Amino acid sequence: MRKIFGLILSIIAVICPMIITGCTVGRSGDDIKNLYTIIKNNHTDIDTGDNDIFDDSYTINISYIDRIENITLATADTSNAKNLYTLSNFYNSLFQAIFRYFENWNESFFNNIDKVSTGELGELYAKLNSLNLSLIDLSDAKQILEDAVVLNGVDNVSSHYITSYIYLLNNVVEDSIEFVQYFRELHMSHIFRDDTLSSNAVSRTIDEMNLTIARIIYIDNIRPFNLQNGEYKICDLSALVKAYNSGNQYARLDMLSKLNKELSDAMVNALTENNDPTRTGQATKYMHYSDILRQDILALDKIYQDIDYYKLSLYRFGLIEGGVDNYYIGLSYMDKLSYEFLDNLLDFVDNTYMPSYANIV
Amino acid sequence: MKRIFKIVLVTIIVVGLMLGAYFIFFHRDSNLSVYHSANNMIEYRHNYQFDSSLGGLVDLGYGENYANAFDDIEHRDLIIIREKLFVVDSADKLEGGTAESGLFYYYGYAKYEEAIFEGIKYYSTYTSLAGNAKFLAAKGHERQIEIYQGYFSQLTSMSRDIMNKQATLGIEGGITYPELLQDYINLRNSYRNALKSGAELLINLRDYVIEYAYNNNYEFSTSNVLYDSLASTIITATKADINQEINYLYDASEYIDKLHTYYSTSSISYGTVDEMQYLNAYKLMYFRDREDFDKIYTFTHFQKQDLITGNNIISAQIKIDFLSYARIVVDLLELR
Repeated sequence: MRKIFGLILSIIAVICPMIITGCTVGRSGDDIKNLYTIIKNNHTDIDTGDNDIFDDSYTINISYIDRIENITLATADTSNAKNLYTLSNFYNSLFQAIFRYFENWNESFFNNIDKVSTGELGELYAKLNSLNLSLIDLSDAKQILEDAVVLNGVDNVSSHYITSYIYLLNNVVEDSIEFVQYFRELHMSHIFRDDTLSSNAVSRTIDEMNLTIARIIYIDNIRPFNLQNGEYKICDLSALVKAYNSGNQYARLDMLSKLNKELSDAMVNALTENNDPTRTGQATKYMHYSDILRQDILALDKIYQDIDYYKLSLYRFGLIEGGVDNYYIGLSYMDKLSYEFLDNLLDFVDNTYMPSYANIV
Repeated sequence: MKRIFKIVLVTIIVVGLMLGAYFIFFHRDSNLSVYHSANNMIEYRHNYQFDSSLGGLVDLGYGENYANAFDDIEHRDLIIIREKLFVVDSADKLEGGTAESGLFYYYGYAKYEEAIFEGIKYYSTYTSLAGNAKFLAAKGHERQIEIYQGYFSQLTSMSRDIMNKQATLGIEGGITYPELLQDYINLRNSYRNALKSGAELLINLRDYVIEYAYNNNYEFSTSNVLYDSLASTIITATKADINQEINYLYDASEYIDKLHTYYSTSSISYGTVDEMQYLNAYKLMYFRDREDFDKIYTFTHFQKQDLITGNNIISAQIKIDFLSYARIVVDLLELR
């Protein structure tokens, strides 16, 4: 009897910590690197060796659907093809902003991996695996879409194939953000220790802010258009495109992309290490605004209400008549606060943060 | 048996006391009670139509012809009190004063209270991050929020009461000027107390956010510095003699003006210093010399100017190591 009791106790002793820690299995740095390799290989064409998700880097790059591209080049510039082409460019810029942090800091992270616990690495692994599954779903949807396009032509294809594909693409964006975001947290809490105004600190902040801006764009302009009703999952493509074409929302990403390209290491060094007071002042200001944005993003994560952002966005982009002000009046006060907070944050990004980044570039 | 019972009882009491002490002094509350209280208060004010009832009183006017009013000293006093309560003209400023005469341009209490309320909303958002605040700290703030909220109903009912009474002016058996004046004085006093309560709440919420939401690792922005400065100045004004408060409210109106400018243009002028210099000095004073930091806002407008120009009597009140930072903080005022 006592032996049985002991056995039960030992089982409980094993299970309890697993339950408490959310059943996360401990992992190593090699596990994560191996999984990344597996993910890349998953999307490599056996015959040609081409990879339609990744090139040599870690960054996701959704190649413009080949067979659609061929059709588009051969035919008139039809609306579906145009939309897909435009959006794939946009999504790739977004992925570049998201993965920039991982690209630039994974080496120092893996070189100092012993500072990170296996439990935390297990969590990171789980997030990468979630991204892996989303990418597999996306590849399946892409195959179906391509087949449908080949069969019917790009502008005669059922819109459901396209909207389902974009829905899954949005999930990939979300999982990418989750993965890199957690990587950043581990990197900051265990490895990166540089509070001074060094070129290293400025570079890291720029990479982090790329991720932050990508998150804001996702929250404000992508997530609202993903619609789910039971098994029926689509993205409202016409709203997404309308939002895209309205200009100002995506202008942030274009500007970010442009600034990233113009920023060189030499410039970052010059900012902080040649004692030029003007340049150092600009870098100080940029770092300060980045800190403020970081503070605000923390609050946004907490207060973001699950309001009907879809409907709100339709008003904002003129897809429903009546004007956003009328809809806004009907919101609860908490929802208004949430919306106002996001709105103020976007103003801050456009009017304060972006100009300070442009200044240092 | 009795002894065992006693031991069990004593153990229960001791454990109970220890648990009680733990929850009161050490336990960190994870239920975001301050955030929810603040948001309830904000929603309450919205639903209570606090502003519109006071707006009704403003629209009601003075009861009779304005131009003839100054012949009657009680009516003149009534007008002055109303001017003090509410925004008085299209320029949102009181006409007829100069800095030299000691009678400054200033907003009405309603305008100050509205700005303070916006500041409270600002910090309320960030209390969402203070999930691990100490139990007592959270409870203290909830109580303060309740007190401030209490003023909404009080002021609304007082203003509605005045509206009804004012309509009976000049009617036989209706209210007289001295009675109406007294009602306005009571309303003004309540408004002043509400202003003080709101300003203190704002400052305490700021400290709460900095300590518990950001673990004292906080970057000040221009907008929160302006809200803080507004609230600190108003606290001094509402603690001062009512005839002296104008010396502080002038600066408070400057902060509100700057807030409006900042929100509409995303930038303001920072006197003779750079924004970063200003924010760094503010941060340094806040974290390293809190005593002098708070003292700055107890200076009148002229004393602040003296601090900048190097007046020895005022300068001597600030620790020598922090004097240059204190001057930078005050320099924001020197716009005009």
